[in-house]
Amino acid sequence: MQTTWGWLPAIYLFLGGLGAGALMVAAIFEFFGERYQSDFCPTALVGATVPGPLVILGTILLIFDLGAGLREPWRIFYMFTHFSSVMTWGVWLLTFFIPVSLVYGFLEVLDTFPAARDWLRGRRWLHWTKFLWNLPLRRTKRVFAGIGLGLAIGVAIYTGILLSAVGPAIPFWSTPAFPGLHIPLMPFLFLASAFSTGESLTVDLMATLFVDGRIPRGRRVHLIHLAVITAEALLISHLLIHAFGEGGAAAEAARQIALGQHSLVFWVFVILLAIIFPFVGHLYAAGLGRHLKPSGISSGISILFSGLFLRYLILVGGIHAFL
Amino acid sequence: MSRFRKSRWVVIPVALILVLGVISVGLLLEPALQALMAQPAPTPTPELLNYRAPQSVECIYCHVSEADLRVALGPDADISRLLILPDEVYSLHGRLGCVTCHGGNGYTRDVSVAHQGLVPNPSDYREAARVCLHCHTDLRTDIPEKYLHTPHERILRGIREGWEVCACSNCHGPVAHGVEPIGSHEGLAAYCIDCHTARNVPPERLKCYGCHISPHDIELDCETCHRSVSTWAQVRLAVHPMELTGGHAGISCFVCHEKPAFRTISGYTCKDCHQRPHDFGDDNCERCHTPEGWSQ
Repeated sequence: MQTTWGWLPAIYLFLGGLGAGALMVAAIFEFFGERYQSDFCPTALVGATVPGPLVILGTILLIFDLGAGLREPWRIFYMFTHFSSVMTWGVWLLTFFIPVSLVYGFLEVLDTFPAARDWLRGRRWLHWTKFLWNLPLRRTKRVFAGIGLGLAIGVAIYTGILLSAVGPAIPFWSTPAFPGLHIPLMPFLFLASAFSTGESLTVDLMATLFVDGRIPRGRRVHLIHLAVITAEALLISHLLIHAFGEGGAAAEAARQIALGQHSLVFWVFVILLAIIFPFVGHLYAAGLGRHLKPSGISSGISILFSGLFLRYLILVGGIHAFL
Repeated sequence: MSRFRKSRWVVIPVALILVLGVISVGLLLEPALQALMAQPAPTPTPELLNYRAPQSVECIYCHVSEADLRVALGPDADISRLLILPDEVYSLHGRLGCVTCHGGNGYTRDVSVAHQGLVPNPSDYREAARVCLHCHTDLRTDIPEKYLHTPHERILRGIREGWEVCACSNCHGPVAHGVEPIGSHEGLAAYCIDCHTARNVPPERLKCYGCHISPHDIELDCETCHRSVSTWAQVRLAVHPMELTGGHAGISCFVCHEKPAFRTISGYTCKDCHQRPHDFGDDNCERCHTPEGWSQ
């Protein structure tokens, strides 16, 4: 069993996925007009402002996890130039994602709080930024939402690509998405999980807590979340079934997760909390057209827990290939 | 600032606190849940991939010492193949450790125990699938099988189906023992030709045809036309039955010839390639036109 990656990488993979997923939801709200159904949209506000800090925190943890990089930080800069490495792709994605998400968050704050915009505009020490205040706020925000959406998808799938690239040393992580094709499953699973956790924070929790589930209107967003939860369930099933069928280290990893040492964590924190519980909650919300406090809060919290534990289990469940 | 609707600001810190709370509770819950699970007794699992040199540490004690090897094998034994120089351990493959490729037991100095399950030649076709191919999964297969005497596809098929095929080291040379594996075309060519020469293979197998099979229907040395060992496309016109000048000078071989055969044009007259666009005159185009262009 691999012992190199444990809780710390699980936390920064979770923070990266959650930040990316939250920004995806905010950008989708921006483009489909959900953001402007009301002057205050907690989903968009959290989805735009929280990804920056979360991903920054995740990046700091990542640097702590880099033994040599922590002792000799200048070596991190070499990671920018090794273009055949998945790590380098990730470093560049984060390099662009963090500032774009911070700017997008700042613009969303200005849009949500006009008084803050007026206050900043009136500061003499910010007079040199006068030309920026003349830009159309919502159009500029939409540009950053678009760029952020693309980068968020990249950040969400990159963590899965990183893990699958470790194969064939850990065959469980390089399970293919389609039999016979060398397209790994992990990026798809991490993308689905990122979107699900992002939506749980911004829609299930924030919109339920702060506007009583009145945002989003209608059942469309809840149905989309149901589809994502279903996709996640199918991907997890495929991952385990393929691993059992492959035999060797992959099957042993799947056995440890589903039936062995980690099975309680898996069935409680992943299957029950990520799939069954939120599925019922979202079925209820989709039928009603909105989340009530019990369904929104319980679904949101359970999906956040499951996103963290899914990554942790995938990491600690990995077993080195047998020689 | 007082005009700001403070309750709305709360959304952002609440979201961040929720996320941090989930992580903190998760960190507390996981060990508790694990404690509830009956910890299974360690089950015998297959040997893990030993990527670290320390696991081969006992091998080094004997194999770097000529005196120890002599004691173990006798004063007249040929120990050159078994003696490892300390520097060799730090080569690319050497750092994987002896047992990674050779098996055996690197934790003991007992000769018989240490050599149980030893694989003397890990690149042998019977072992390569287990050893070399474990890491080298992306073998180059872009040259079609019909144009190489020993293509990777055939070797992989042979390993899979258990035929006797050549070993990885037959072409790529030894690894780890003070040498780096041969990967470049120049290195492979020199290594193959040396081996072919030593085995007195026919002379035509001492050049490109030692490994490559020509797709063309002409008997020329490859290097007569092909100028690069990294791409077949870089060629020069070396021989041609008729002089190619003017408009003919710059065109690719396969504009006129069928690919890959060359003998698809027999006459080398204008009408073999060109159609007469006018009714007057005959097929002797050269009476009026020159190769510089039809307008000339």
